[in-house]
Amino acid sequence: MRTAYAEVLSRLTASSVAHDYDPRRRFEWPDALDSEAWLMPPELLSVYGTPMMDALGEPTLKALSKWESMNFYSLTLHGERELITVISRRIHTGGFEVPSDFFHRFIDEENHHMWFFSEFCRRYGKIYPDSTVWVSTDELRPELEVFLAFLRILIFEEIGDSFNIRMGGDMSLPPIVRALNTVHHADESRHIAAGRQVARHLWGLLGGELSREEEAAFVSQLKEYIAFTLQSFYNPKMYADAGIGDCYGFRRELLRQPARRERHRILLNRSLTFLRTSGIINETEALY
Amino acid sequence: MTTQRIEELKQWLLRERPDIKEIGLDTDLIDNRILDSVTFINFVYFMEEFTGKRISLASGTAANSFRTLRLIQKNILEEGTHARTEIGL
Repeated sequence: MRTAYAEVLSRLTASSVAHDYDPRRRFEWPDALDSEAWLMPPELLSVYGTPMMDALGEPTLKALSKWESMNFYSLTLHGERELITVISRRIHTGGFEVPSDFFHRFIDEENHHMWFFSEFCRRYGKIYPDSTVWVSTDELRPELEVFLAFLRILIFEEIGDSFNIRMGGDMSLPPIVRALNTVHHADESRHIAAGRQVARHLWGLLGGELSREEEAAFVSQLKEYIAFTLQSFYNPKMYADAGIGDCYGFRRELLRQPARRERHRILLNRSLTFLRTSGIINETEALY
Repeated sequence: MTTQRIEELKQWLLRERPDIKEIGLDTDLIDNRILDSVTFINFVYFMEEFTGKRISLASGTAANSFRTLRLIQKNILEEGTHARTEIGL
């Protein structure tokens, strides 16, 4: 008899197969985007809710919406390259027999996403280089390291998905922007559902609790990952590309703004709720 | 001039990590946990702002160029030896 874990993953695999598509045929790419159009809604911009936004005129904010969207898709495709690496290392290895069939679909779909986001950036702007350098030296036992890797995937996908949901349904954005975000959200909703199943399963294998020392190291690494991910939405190069002077000082000032901390809480809300309700971390306020 | 610049970078690190009292030219900034992934990228941005050079992190070994202040001096600050940098924004 199949476990509930196997049942859910099997259902998600079937859903993925039923919604299969060829990314190269799925979208209609316009030759150019309207230079007057917003490419990202103002409330998703890294300046939103701050006095610094009020000081920028609409032309600069529209330019910023272009470069912030290029940064968002660049982050997504760089992140997805890492996700594929993490999943590829586990597929059909001991302990991952149950989700491996879904992992094939996951890798396939993440490859689609990398292609269409890179295509968007190359056609209408540029791909910002990956600035991720992991320098942590704390070592966790292998089982905890794997659990943390899957939690990172989940948090990364849930943050990105909140952007996709908002942009996919915004009729003021160009059709290609809506289409990319809608398709990405449809795939990611399955990845997130599967990711939660795998994370709960791995947490169960860990016994559902950690020693005080392990918990401190685990929370520290998760916090570092969250801070790095959130700060990557404040790439100084996109401020420079939008014509904002002193791009580094602008970034520093934004990261000090109380309104941004509240925005970070909203972006993390689903992940923090999952961590709390699954009994993984109770004091989630300390994570961001 | 380079010595003064190294001193300013050191002061930036000491401001970020007030619990650290001294950082030598050969102190390993990563092994000694003076930099983590978040402070590392902020340190890179500070160096870009400070030097006016864009620093590429594309290489998988980029972190090794920043392990010590002496390596930063050699790889980033000294003119003509910053193989992984591009001038300007």
